[in-house]
Amino acid sequence: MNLAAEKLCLNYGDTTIFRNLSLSLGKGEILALKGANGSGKSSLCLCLGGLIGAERGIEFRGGIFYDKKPLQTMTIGQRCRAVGMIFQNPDNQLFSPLVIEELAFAPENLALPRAKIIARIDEALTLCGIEHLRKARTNSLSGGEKQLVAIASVLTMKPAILIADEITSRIDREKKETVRKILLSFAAQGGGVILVSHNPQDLAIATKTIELEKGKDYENRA
Amino acid sequence: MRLDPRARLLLILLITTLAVLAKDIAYLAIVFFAALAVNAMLKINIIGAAKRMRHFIWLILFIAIVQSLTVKGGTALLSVGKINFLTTKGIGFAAEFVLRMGIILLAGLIAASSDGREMTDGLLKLGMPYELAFMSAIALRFLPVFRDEFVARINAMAMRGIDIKRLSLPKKLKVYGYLILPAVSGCVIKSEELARSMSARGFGAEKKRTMLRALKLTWTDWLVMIIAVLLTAAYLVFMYTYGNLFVL
Repeated sequence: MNLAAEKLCLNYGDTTIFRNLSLSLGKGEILALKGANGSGKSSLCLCLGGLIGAERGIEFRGGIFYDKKPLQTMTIGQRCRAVGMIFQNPDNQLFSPLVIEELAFAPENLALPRAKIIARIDEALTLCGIEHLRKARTNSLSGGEKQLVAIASVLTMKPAILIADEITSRIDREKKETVRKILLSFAAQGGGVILVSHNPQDLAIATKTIELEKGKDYENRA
Repeated sequence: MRLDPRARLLLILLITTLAVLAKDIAYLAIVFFAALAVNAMLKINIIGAAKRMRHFIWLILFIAIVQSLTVKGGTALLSVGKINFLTTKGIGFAAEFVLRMGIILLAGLIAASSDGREMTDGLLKLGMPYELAFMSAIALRFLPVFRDEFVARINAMAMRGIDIKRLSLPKKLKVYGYLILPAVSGCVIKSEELARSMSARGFGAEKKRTMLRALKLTWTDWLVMIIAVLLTAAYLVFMYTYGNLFVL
């Protein structure tokens, strides 16, 4: 399992976000992305997650390869099995009335049989320690619980790589610790993690770090 | 009584169709009481729902009053000089409007009383493309989001010393005008993030989705659906055979 990005360039209109940015991520690795606001961390996450493309005003160049296969040529299903992405604000990620429905959403999209959907939900709930929320309504959850549900809903796809974009920024200390444990456990099971954070304790679990600067040309830098 | 979402969808379709087709107050009243009976059968808390929708109900009543005062024709009930303020026709129009809106609200309650994403699953089972089914479910989700965005901006204004409740109506309308654009743009940003999150979780990955919820029509569902269709047919035959029951 390997994710490699080669010479990524991103412009929003006339504004350069980054140029010639390359990175790679292997099995069990946790890559931390840090940098000031506007340095392109979230944009890079969207690129690596295959969620940025030929949109109006966006110029994106470079190659992203999962096991040497270009991410851009993958089907949605293949891409989701390769890379899963969790966003900063759980309120903007959850839309199903019930937690169990939110968790079923991704495996339903991947057209998995019902028995497999249930097994994946059970596994994700256990991994995130939220078995008690199985039948809860999403609008009754606290911010931290919502974020754990958002993480679990991505884990049901069993992606090889997990991209976590500032997922601990809106939750309390106890839940931050839980999230770190989930990410460590995911990496220990052979997954790769890309973690965006400003929190030193989050950054401490990383095996390697890249610091981003707005508009920087990263040519000749690893 | 619990009904399969497909049976509920059929009831909603029949009730709302009859609300549109009904020829006069008497026919509308029959549909209204039938809708009430369906709500009672499904053990829906109508009083609780009415309390939640009280502003909307007041708006319906206000429109009905305006309508009763502006529609002319029929026998004059209240007149000053040669000008009729209240006529039997005006009252009839207002009553029809209130009944129609009441029926639509009661039909809406049948949809809202479903558990979780049941209705979306029902639509999918009926063969609706899942992009469309989810679009309608998510559109409903955005009604409270829009309200929250609006309230958040009103609170932000209040924190800076503008108490909207104390403003005169023209000033209030002006302030609301200022708030609409940021509230809408906030919703657009949220919808973009939601779309990304759905895309990241494989929305559109396969032509046919599978479903966690195993929907199965029971004999109760079949019985309710057959009775509902037969009653609707009888109602329509009667209405188109005998015509108006109540002429103002």
